[in-house]
Amino acid sequence: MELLSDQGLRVDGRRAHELRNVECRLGVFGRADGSAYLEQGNTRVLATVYGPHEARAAQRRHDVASINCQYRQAVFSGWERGRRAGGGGDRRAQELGALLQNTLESVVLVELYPRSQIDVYVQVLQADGGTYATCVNAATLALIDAGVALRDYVCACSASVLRDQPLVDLNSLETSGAPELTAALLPRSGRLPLLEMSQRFHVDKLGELLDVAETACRDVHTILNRAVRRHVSARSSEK
Amino acid sequence: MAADMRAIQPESLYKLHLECEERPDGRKLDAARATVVTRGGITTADGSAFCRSGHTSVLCGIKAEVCTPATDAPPDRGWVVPNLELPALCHHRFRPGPPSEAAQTASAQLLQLLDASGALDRTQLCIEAGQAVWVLYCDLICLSHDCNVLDVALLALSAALTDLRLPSAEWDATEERLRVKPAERTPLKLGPLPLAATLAVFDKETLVLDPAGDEEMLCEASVTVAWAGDSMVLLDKTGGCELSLEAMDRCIALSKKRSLELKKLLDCCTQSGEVEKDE
Repeated sequence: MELLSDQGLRVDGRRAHELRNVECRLGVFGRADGSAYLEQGNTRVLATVYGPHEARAAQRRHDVASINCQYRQAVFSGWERGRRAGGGGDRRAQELGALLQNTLESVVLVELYPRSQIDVYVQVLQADGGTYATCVNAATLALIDAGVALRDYVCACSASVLRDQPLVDLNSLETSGAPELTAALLPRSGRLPLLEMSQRFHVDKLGELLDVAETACRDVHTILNRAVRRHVSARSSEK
Repeated sequence: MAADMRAIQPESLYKLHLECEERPDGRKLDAARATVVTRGGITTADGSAFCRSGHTSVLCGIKAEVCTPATDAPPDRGWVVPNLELPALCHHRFRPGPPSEAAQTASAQLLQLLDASGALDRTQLCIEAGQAVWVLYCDLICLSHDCNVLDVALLALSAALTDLRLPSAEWDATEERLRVKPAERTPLKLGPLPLAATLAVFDKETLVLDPAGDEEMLCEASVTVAWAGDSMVLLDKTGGCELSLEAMDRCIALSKKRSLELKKLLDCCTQSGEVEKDE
């Protein structure tokens, strides 16, 4: 099966620069302080935020809030049944949780919430490529829903280069066939709080790949921004 | 003022509500929360269902795998392994870490309920006696916790079992291997599925169906009754206060009525992806 046909179409019929269909909903769970459900193609992620609340003694910092992130992937989310999460997940899950914490620390105005803790829990319900990028986007939406003060949106997207053609927003089939770069962008300042890639890749193509990833992240930002505004106006018109 | 009273004296506030025969969320004492069941949401799972009752939601995904039956187990029966997770995201009182006692107890209860109801004949899961049987890993995640997780989880499990489609599998005796055709799928033949209803007891006599919010914490006792068709498969009373036989009869009658409502919800449609609502 060809990941990229001669006409420039991918396996799911998209063009190289097109994102998958995005569906998002904020405030899905009334009990949590903030929650968001995000679908990018067949990847479905749920993010929940509790806080800011009083920090546990070990995590309390006198001048800033501490952010605690947990990444979990449901056992039935992949094509193969995943290993059951023991004490919160295997090493990959812990690594992604720590990565998410570093990414969010760059946008949350932690100076406004000293001695408190913000818990961000991300649960992957269905994984079909670009999972980590979807998690970052969902976490941003959940933080906005919780009313936590943010410097900017964090918009993430995955990108790759296949036969000299840059692709964005990979699905799981494409991830197994090409190296995957995950990038997150702060749209207002144009800065990148996150760049992650773990496969072999030629450095000459990096510049082009970063440009393509940045454009894709800005497209994601447009979609998320629209969703947030829609949600806020729906909430305010209810009252 | 009600919010202050709720923080300082929640029992007194709740008793005032009970005197007016109405609960903080506006329901009557014998009214359950609005329940929604959605089947087939997770395409990577072989069967799935999402169930929401008020603010409690549980997602169930079933993945089927093949395994060789153990030498000391019956050779022609498959396995069902339900596992309920109560992750930190469902409620602020849960912390990340190994499965809590509540989660482990609930998982064991779900298996017991499935066995007791006889809904699933394990011999259906046999592909070739002694060589290959199906194992159904039913993973339930509580996404939002607002009391009564066991009832909602049981409903999600029952709905996911009706959504499950097993691929056709054949044991090739000459080559001693299994041939699976993932594209051809058949549903299971299920007996009456177990459905549970929980009631909270106040002042030894007042029964409240489908506790929510503070009710589970404030109640003196709680009674869970599960039904599979016309048979009762679970009767569980926990809590310190004693209950009269008359009150117990009322519990049983209310739970039977609720289980019939839930059964109607499950039977409403057999197509995957459709939503059934019960107000």
